[in-house]
Amino acid sequence: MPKVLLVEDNEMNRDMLSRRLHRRGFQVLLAVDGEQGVATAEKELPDIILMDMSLPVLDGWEATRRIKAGDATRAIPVIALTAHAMAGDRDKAMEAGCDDYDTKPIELPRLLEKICRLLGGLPSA
Amino acid sequence: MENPEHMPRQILVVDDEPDLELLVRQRFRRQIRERELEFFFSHNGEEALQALAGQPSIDLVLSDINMPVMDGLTLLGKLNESGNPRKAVIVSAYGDMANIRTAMNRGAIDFLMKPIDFQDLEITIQKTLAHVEQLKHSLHTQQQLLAIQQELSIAARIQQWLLPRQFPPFPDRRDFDLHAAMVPAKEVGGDLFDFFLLDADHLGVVIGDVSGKGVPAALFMAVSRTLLRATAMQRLPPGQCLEYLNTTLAGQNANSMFVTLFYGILDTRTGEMEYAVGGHNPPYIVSPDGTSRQLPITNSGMIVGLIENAPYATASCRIAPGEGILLYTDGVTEAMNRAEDFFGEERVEEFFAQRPGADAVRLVSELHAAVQEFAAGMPQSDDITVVALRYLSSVPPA
Repeated sequence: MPKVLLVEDNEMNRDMLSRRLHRRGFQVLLAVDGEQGVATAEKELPDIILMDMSLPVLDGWEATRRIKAGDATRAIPVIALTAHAMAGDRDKAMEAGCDDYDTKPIELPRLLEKICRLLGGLPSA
Repeated sequence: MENPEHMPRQILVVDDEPDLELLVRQRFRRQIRERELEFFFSHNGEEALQALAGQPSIDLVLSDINMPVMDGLTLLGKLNESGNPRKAVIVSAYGDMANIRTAMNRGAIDFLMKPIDFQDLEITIQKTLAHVEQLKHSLHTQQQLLAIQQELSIAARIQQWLLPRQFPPFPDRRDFDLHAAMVPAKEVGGDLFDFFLLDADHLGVVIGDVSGKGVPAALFMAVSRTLLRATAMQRLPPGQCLEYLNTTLAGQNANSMFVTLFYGILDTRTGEMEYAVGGHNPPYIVSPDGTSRQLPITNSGMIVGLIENAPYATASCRIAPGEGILLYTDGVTEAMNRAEDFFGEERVEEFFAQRPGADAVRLVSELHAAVQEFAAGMPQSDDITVVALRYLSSVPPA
């Protein structure tokens, strides 16, 4: 079962998305701020990370940079989730090392397709 | 260079001046010899119409205005009616602005002045022929688009044929009550449902939702549905069926498409249902008094078609006589209203509570109606599918 790490500080968004991903058969790990996100990524080595960008303690941009700088975690694909479809956010996310990018409100089928594309070559669990 | 295969572009010259033909043939003799251009000549509008009827591939009409029988302006009016992309260039007396304006308003693309400047005429011919070529090309593209649209609507129909269409599906059976309906979103989409008797006592029920939209989703849906039915017919437990389907689909799936699936087998003697889930919403068990509960999905497998060799377990539950199981796709719970609220699971549960004892037909048709009423004209972005199966009794079929 693929492990998804969801880094999101908003409790409602976190619950909703994790429940919907769980329904699709994903194992969902949660982190509520960037620092926790980096620590969980290092400890659990998830198959993919969904990263909210405006996070307390350590924001999503910096958390992604740290994940992409770590030897153990750099290969884990990261999808940036941002609140606004700002033209610059996409470039900023890619620059921080994100592998893809999606905007809130989350449309699950669209997000799932992005997840699946990044997990596409995944060997059997 | 002579090219006998090459089809010359055809031009009709309409003028009551007999000398013009000689002048044109003289001036364009190279293009005529090399089969770049081919000229036809008429002496009034009526002759011109006859010539055009005999030579429909004429792309350019070069016409004088003042002629006996039918003048050039009348001819222009008739050319417009044909629907052919051919264009007309008018030749007028010097400074005759009134006639030139009329000609332009009747669709002439350009005009020349007498006496004809042949260099100007040559440029005008080349420019107009290029324009007609472009028109023909866009007309062709438009026709191709129309053909594709037609094929898409045929694809949508074929896809619907893949779903069971006869209701009630098993009219002789008194021990269960089964109904289903899919309301497709505008585009060809990817919801599926199916049911089949594995033997006299075992009824298979399937619901699924394919990722994406359009023709790729429709094709993936067709493959998933056919493969699952073929696998189910081998009498494998639901979990093994999904495992087989998943591995087959994942192995050849270059586009990372997937399908969420629920497959259950109801033992019609006992009400026992064996089932497996591949990332699909948990179905509801609905009691005769309208209370409902979600089927516990402890064996939830991954969405199907993504990860080779993913495990899918078979679980079982018991449906009491009078209880029903309701399967649905995201289109129900994620239907959105103007305030951007989802229909959601609470409304589904409320829906059941208001309809104690409803049969399968009512559950399906009224849930569709409730979702539609909720969405109140908001565009439907996803297929909406509902399958209701009521288990009536353990009495064997008559």
